[in-house]
Amino acid sequence: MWKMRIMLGFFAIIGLSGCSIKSVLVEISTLPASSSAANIRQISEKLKTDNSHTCNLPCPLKVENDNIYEISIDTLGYYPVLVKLDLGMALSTAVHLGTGKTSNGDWRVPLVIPLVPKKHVAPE
Amino acid sequence: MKTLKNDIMIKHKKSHLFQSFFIIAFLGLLVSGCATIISGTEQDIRVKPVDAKITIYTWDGKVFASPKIKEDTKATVHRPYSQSLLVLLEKDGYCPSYWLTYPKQNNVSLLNAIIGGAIGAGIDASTGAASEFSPSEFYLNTQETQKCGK
Repeated sequence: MWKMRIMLGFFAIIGLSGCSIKSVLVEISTLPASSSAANIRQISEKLKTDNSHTCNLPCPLKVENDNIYEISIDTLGYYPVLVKLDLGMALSTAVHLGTGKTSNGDWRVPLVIPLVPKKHVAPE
Repeated sequence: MKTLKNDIMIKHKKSHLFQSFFIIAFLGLLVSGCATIISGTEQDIRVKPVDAKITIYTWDGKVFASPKIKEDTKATVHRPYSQSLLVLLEKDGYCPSYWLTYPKQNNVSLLNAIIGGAIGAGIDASTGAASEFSPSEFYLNTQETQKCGK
C-alpha cells in the first residue's frame, strides 16, 4: 500500500510540475533580419481583455496561458505578416527544439518569420 | 507442512507474475509503433489554390518541407514531430498567408500509448507518427496584392 502511495505522490509531483508551466518566452525575429516594429495584440478570453503593444524586432514576447497573441509585422518592401500563437504551440516547440530556459525558469524559443519580398512592377 | 504449502503458493504466484509480465511485454511489442504502421509518418494536407507555393518552416527558420500541391489540392508532408510549424502560402498577385500550426495528438498513437505503453509511444514519437497538423487545410487569402500592405 505504501508503495502505491509513493507512486501516486511521484505522479502527482510530475503532474503539478507540468501544470506550473504558465509562460514561454518567444524571441520573435524575421528572415531576412528586420528592425521594423511588430504589433502584438494579446487577447484573453478568460479575463475578457484585448491589449496591444509594439516592439522593435527582434523582440521577446512572454506567451502566457489562456491568451492568444496576434503578431503583425509591416516591413517596407515586404508583404505584411499576420500570425496567431498561444502557449501550447510555443511550449511544444520549445520542448521539441530544446532551446533551454530563461533565468526565471521559463522555456524560451525563437520564432523566425520568413518575409516575402514585394515584386517590383515596372510602370506600363 | 504449512511452510511447504506457503512456499508452493509463493512459487505459483511468482510464475503467474512472470507469465503476465511476458504476455504484457509481448503484446506491447506487438503494438509497438502502432501509429507508425497504421497512419504512417506522412500526412495529407489540403492546399488551395493548386498553383500556389507552400513552404513549411520550423520556428528556428529552417525549411521543414516544401511539398508539391497535387491537382486534387492535396499535398503530402511528414508529420510534425510534436512541434508547432510555420506554414507560408504564397502566389504571385496575392498577399501571402501565414499559419502557426498546433501539433495535435494522433488518435491512433494515443490508443497505442495506452495499450502498448512506453515502447510503442516512444517509437511513434521518434518517427513523428504521434502527431498531426492542425489545421490541415490552408487556403490563400484572396485579397489582391494592391490592397495588402503599404
